[in-house]
Amino acid sequence: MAGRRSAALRERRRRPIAWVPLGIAAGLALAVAILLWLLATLLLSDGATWRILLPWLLFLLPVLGIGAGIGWLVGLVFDAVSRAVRRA
Amino acid sequence: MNAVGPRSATAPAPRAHYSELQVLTAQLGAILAVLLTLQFLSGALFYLYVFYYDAPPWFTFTRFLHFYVGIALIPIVLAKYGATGLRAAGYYLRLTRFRRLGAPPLLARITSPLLALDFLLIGISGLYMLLHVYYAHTNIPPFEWKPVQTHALASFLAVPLLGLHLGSHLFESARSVKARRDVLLETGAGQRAVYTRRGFLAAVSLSGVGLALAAQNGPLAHGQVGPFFIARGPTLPRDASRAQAFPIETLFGDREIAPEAFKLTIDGAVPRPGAFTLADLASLPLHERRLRTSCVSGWSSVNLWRGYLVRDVLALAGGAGGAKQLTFHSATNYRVPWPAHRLLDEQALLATHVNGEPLIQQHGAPLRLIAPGYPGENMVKQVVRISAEHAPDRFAPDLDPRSEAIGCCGRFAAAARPRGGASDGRPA
Repeated sequence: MAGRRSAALRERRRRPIAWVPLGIAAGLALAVAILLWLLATLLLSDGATWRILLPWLLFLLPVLGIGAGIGWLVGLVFDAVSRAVRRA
Repeated sequence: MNAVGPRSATAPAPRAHYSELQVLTAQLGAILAVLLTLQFLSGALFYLYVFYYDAPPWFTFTRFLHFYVGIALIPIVLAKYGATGLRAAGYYLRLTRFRRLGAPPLLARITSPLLALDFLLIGISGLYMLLHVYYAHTNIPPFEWKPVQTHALASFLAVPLLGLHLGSHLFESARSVKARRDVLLETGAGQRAVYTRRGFLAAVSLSGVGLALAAQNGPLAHGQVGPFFIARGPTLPRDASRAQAFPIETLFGDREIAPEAFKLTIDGAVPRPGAFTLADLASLPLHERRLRTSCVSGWSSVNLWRGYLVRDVLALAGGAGGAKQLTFHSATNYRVPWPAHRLLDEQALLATHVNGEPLIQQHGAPLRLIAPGYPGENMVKQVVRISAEHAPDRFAPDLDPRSEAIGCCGRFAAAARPRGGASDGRPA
């Protein structure tokens, strides 16, 4: 049982990492963190009301889109580097 | 456009079949995604800084970005309307070729028409402002919304709609582009169709760029209502002293008004309508306010204004009574309707002086409205008439953020000082 599990683990380690989806996920996570920071900053500014959420709403899609795009590009770079290393 | 190129009989079968129309729609969607990212980002900064915080110097860049990308988007959006409309029409008209493609996902079928309408609203209101129609007729019929309100509301609505649309479409669209590319790489087929589509995409994109450039120097730049908005920045008065050397953006120009001939007419739903001279106004107490003017075109300037409270001026005609709306008319026929309650506090002035000097003509002499919290376009210069009306703006949602949000800006204070917060409120 333990032998089969360690074999499966070895097999998983040997499998190349899916850098592109990982990069997109990381980019999205970063974008979400930036959006949350922006939200907190806007809401914590003195005298802020719910109306400050309107411009924040407009940031939502572009920031997520840019985050995913940058993550995708970084993933592609990592993917290319890891392929080159493996080939070497 | 929908033609699929000849396919070799020996070619391996593609994993999924996508029509040229689907691929074109997806590619247009990809172009739109990039441009709309820029557009929403610049729009968000625009909105944040014009309505909430003072505009920093780099803000002007967002103006150019937003206006030019907006113009460049027109043919691309129209092409997207055409591509999706063609498929929808073909499907619902039961044309075999389109029926074979099947119906788009349910969510896309719901969001697409809503998005199309919403973007139509965004586009029309954007052009309305850009082409200065804004300055002749402030509100868009039939609802009498202000274009900026329409533009902002439609943009807010676009966020969830675009989110749903992209959610239902994004991966499938990306797959369609990739699958089509794989097929073409494997078979070398469909070259002609691809070049047609590429040609179309290039033409649409180039026409977008061309439109944006043409707007700079083309016939639009010499429209009857003045220079094209985005073509030039605000001008500075030539002969003004340093005290009045802040930007001027008076698209309707200004008129020479002799002070002794000046009369301010107050009419409509006031108890004692009448015309008042500057001598009549001189009996009122003067007040000073340090207020920032922020223009939607990207500049802002803090100045010390001196003049009469709007409330006191209206008192000459017996007060605003129950009026819900006050429309300020300029000597140049420019007019802006204001919700009355926004002007009856201690802040709104009909200014006669700025930074210690009598106003020059370009800055709105002899009387100019100035109030905190609204973009500069609402500050009517050379006010000659105030009409009080019982009916408020019929369907104008009050997007005015002047309430508490403008008090002070917390963490933004270092970069952007609060507007209107520094007024001392003391009579001068």
